[in-house]
Amino acid sequence: MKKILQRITQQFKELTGKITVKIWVIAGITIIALGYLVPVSLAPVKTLKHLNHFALADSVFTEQYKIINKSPELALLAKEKGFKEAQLSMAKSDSIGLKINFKDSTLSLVIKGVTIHAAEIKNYKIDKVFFAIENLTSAKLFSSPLNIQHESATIVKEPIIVKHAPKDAAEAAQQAYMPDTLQKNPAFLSMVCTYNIQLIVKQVEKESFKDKKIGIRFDFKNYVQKTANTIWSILRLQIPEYKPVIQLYVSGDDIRTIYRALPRNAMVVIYY
Amino acid sequence: MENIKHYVTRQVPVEAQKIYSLLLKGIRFIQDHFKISRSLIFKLLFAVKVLAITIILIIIFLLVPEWIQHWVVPVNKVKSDLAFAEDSVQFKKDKKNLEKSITQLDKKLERQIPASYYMVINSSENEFQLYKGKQLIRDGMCSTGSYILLQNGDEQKWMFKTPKGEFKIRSKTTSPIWKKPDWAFVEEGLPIPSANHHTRFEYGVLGDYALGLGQGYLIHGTLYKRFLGLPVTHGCVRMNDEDLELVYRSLNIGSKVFIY
Repeated sequence: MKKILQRITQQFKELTGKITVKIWVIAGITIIALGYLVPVSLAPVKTLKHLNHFALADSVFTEQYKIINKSPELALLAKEKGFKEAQLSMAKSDSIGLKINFKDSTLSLVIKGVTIHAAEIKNYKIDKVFFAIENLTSAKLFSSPLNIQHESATIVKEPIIVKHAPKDAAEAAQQAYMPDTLQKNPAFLSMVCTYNIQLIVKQVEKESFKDKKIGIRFDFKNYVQKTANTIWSILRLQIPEYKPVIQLYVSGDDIRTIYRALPRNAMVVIYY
Repeated sequence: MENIKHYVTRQVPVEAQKIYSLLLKGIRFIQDHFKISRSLIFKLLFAVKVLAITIILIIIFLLVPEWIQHWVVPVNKVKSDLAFAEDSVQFKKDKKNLEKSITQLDKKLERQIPASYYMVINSSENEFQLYKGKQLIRDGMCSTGSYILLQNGDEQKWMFKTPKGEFKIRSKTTSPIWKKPDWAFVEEGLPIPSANHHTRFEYGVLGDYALGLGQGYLIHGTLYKRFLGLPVTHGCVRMNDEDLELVYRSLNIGSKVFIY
């Protein structure tokens, strides 16, 4: 009887020990998850405040555009005016710029005010932050061109083919290069602009397995990069930075053309 | 102890017991058919468990933040100011001012578009468009730079790409003669002749017309029409005879050419 009791007590201790460990594990995971998710949820609010503060700090601009907050109709007109001012400002530069107009669903290449290529935006997603910012902020942010500060893509900017000079005419004949226009890699493009606004341009075509695979890999890379930055910020006890995203779906050919045409640090104007 | 175990098993619902026995049957089936040991099956089950936890963690760390971030952002609504009724004199004045500014900006933007002929060349798709103002006059295929980087040892390098940006027609020539540069000989594996050697001059290969864009870049014709629409040139823009003739007659010295 005593032995049985001892065994039961021992088993009970083992069981409670296991339960305690489980509780600690669950508590640990919950703390980590909360420690991660709370700063993450504060990030867009911080960005929102930062953007609003930036625009409202410019007293000259605020005074000039204060009517925006008085009526939705005036806000729309002011936005349109800002977009046209941004275009004119971009036209002063002699390099190719990007114009994103959600009102007529076009993504265009512009040089010196002349639209040289226009692609149809088939679908888009605009970050909620852009609808949460003050109208004054929106007018301030988009009344001048943004600059692309960092870009990455699934296609090469310049498809360079290195060729070594042949030693003689016979070798030259063997080297004769035949271009292959049929080879078109799936095009997904990410650009980070001024104010940390991220433009993601994705091809609409998802016919082949390769298209899907590269698309998933592109998204996953973006997620991982974002998560890594977030974790790094949290480890430094900072609220992570939040990049408001504008996602566009355009044909692959147009993305290839646009990406290859845009110079480094190209300008972008946006109207939504 | 046995009694306790028996009591516990008796308390388990019948459905759970059925599932458990099915699971055991499944394990036995796998053991018999695939000759896998029971420990390996349990290892596989453990791997599945780890995979499931990993997926849950991925969802927490990658997908949930996006959902939360979307959820926490409030949407801004323009507060209508009662003192600023939309039929007030001030509102009408502000609206008129804004509309006037927009019209002026529209006019300024319109003036950016050349009124006369200009050409747009897409070097990615190897296409061109000839415009007069906003009107499209002709579009078609052309050939632009191949993006070949020709290396002659470590000393000499040539990049065969068509430059991008805004250009102006600087010269117009009929029956142009091509003076072959050094790279043309290097590319063919031939010795480089002297500057004005007769082998440098080729007749008829550039078509009937050539329009100079500066820095040696030309819009010209070609003998290799099958390559139109492909990136095969050394940086010049090649066109077919009919398109080239129209472009030559339409564009004047100073006319704009936009290449992208």
